[in-house]
Amino acid sequence: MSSDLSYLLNNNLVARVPGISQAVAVSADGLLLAWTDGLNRDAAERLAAVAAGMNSLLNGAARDLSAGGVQGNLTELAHGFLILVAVSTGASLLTLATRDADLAFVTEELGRFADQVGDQLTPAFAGTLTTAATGQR
Amino acid sequence: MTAPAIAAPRPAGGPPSLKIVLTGPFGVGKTTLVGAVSDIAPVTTEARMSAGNADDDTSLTPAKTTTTVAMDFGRLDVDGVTLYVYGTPGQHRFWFMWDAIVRGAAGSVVVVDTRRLQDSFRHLDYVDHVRLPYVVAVNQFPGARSYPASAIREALALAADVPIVDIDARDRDSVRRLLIALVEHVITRTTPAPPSVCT
Repeated sequence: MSSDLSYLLNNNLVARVPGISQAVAVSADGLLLAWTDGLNRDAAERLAAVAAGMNSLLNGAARDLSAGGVQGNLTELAHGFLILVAVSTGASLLTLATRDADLAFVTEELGRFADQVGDQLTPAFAGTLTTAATGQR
Repeated sequence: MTAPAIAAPRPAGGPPSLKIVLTGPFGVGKTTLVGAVSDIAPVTTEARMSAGNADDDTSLTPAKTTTTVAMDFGRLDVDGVTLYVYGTPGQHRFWFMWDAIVRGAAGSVVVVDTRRLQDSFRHLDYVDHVRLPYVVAVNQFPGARSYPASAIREALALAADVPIVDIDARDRDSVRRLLIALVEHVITRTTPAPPSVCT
């Protein structure tokens, strides 16, 4: 779990971009890398799994439509917006924005943030074990 | 059991953790299993099933009204190691998600129902194909005949080193034993062997 990345989520997104209330950073294999202060750990881990699942589901749709890979997703909720931003490495950011947020601004800032921290969003679990177990693939 | 050598440490040095993928045919008990063993409220993506699911045989699961449409997710601690359990959707039409779900996984559980072992063939083929170490879990349904492990090994054409574990997917202790068996199998499989063997 990256505390540096959690710091960045709290200070460069939630504190600085009006309308962003929560965020999690998720590795390509669906595991939680960092989360904002307003979430508890259990909820953040579920959100991480959901982000990876959404990414996968939407990529399934994109493949059948021959429309390229998923770059982002916007879901309207009764009390906010759920925004998924895919990072080139396969990692993603899942963010809750308030209902009155300026979505154009928020998504632009999320894209900028993803570019900045992209290097830190590498799979958390690509350690020795998984390399040994699946490395011959 | 301590397993510092096999678990990938978290970037900031937190507890070791492993990702595990649970697979098996439609209606075999994967969602139930995750719910039984998870230390946290699991993520479930069950949806009401419509008729006309021509792709999967539902004759042995007549009471089943919901099906997993994306995945299940749960977390548990076993002797200081955090296990993240991802369940795949059972229905064939969701298979496009599998490659994403198995990414980064250390091992897999293939759940089988003795009344329809043949439904698990493609799941076994898949974990073989992606070279994931796996154990076979025999979910003992009430009223289903029980078979010795040797008969199941033969029917599924399993290699001699693949563990076969009888489980009750509803029972937490039973599922914990299964996952411990998987972790032990993963350790065995990934222990460095002489170069001539490890090709």
